[in-house]
Amino acid sequence: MSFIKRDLPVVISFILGIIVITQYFWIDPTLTITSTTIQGWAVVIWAFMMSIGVINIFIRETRSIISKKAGQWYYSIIIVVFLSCMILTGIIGTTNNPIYLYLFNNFNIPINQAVASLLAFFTISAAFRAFKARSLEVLVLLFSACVVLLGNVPIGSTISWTIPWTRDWILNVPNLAYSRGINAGAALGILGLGIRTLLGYQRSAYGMGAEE
Amino acid sequence: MPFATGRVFMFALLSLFSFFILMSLQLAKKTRVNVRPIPALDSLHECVGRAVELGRPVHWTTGYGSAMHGGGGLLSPALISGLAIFTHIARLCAQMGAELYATFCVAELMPPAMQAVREIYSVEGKEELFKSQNFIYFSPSQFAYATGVISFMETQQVATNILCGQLQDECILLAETGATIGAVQVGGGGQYAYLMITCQYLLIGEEFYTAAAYLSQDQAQLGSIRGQDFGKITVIFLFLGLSILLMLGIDLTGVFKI
Repeated sequence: MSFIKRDLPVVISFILGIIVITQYFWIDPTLTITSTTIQGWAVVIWAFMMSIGVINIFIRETRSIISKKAGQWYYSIIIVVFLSCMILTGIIGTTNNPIYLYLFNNFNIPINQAVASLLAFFTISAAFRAFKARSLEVLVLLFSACVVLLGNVPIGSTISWTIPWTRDWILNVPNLAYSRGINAGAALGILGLGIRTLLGYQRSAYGMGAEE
Repeated sequence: MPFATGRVFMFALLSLFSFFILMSLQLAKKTRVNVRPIPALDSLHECVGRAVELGRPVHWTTGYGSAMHGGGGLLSPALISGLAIFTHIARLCAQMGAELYATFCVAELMPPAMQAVREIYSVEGKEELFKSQNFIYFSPSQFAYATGVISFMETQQVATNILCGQLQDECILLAETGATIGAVQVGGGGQYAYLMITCQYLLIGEEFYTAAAYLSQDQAQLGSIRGQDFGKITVIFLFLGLSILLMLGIDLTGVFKI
């Protein structure tokens, strides 16, 4: 593989990465301006990448409409029509366009909220399956979940003052200790990952998969 | 150049940990490094094999998080690690002939993912199996993406569901759907409580971030994991030492603010 395809992305990432990291620790106007510019580029690249996503949606849904994919094509029409409307109204009158705002407030937000409300039901369904007391570990999990759930509702403190107290203890002692331990390990993992990526040992982020 | 206030101690720790990792990277070229088995990563072969046996696809998704959703970088560490796991799965799929699908909420992840998989299929001599239409972008919106993935998983009846990336609340929607359709699931990259109750295999904390090194079995990369362990030992001693000193009435926590 050529230098441009294989090594240049690693060299660029290394230089830019070192500049951004150094700027975090040292106060220097030149470094700050350079770092801000680099981060500005990242935003522009991100915006450009969004267009790849939109093109992907258009191609997939148009294919589905043309081939009249069973059980799918009529949904594809809705997606293409709404996507086009949002893009056009957004471009023509920015995000203050009344049609854009109407579509956003009356379709996007309620649908998003409706799906978000499903979280509780999915969680209950998963918890019901997971909390079948088949072993000692699951029994401990079940007990902790019951205490935390009861401690969060008024009836918990009505039954006994120990329930909210136990809930607080579970959340502030074993739960917090576990979280901090995991986070410390993960932080070191991220550091290792960063070093491996910047030095080019790990290249999946550069779109190179045949390195293993 | 003056130091930024409150970041001297952080810089010292970062330098120390980086030194451990770089030193271990170099030493690993001379001495063999053994890493404990990670069941979730060892199971990937079996998971892809199951999909081939059932004649159903393998599905990988990253979750909602990215730079613009508070991930901390255009390609955040979790996404980079998730991508490394994905490339390994792609290789297994190419070797075993499994159908591979990838769904995205993060558009910027699509080009490197597609390029990496195309390269892998080419190296494995299976170019004809690579399908660009199997890379599906749904939406940058969290729940629109989740709805799309749920619908996709149920339609395709995926056999293996890999949830490795920067997962947020949508994770329970995806993982529970996977559990309902009987998919074997591997999860990693946040929301451990959700993943723990829905996935058969879980990558916790640093296991997830060291996945690429572990899967590559490259000695230098494995050495960096040993360097991380030196860092972990330092952190444990730091925690213990400062806690004991605090109990004795000596407060050194001000050192963090230097």
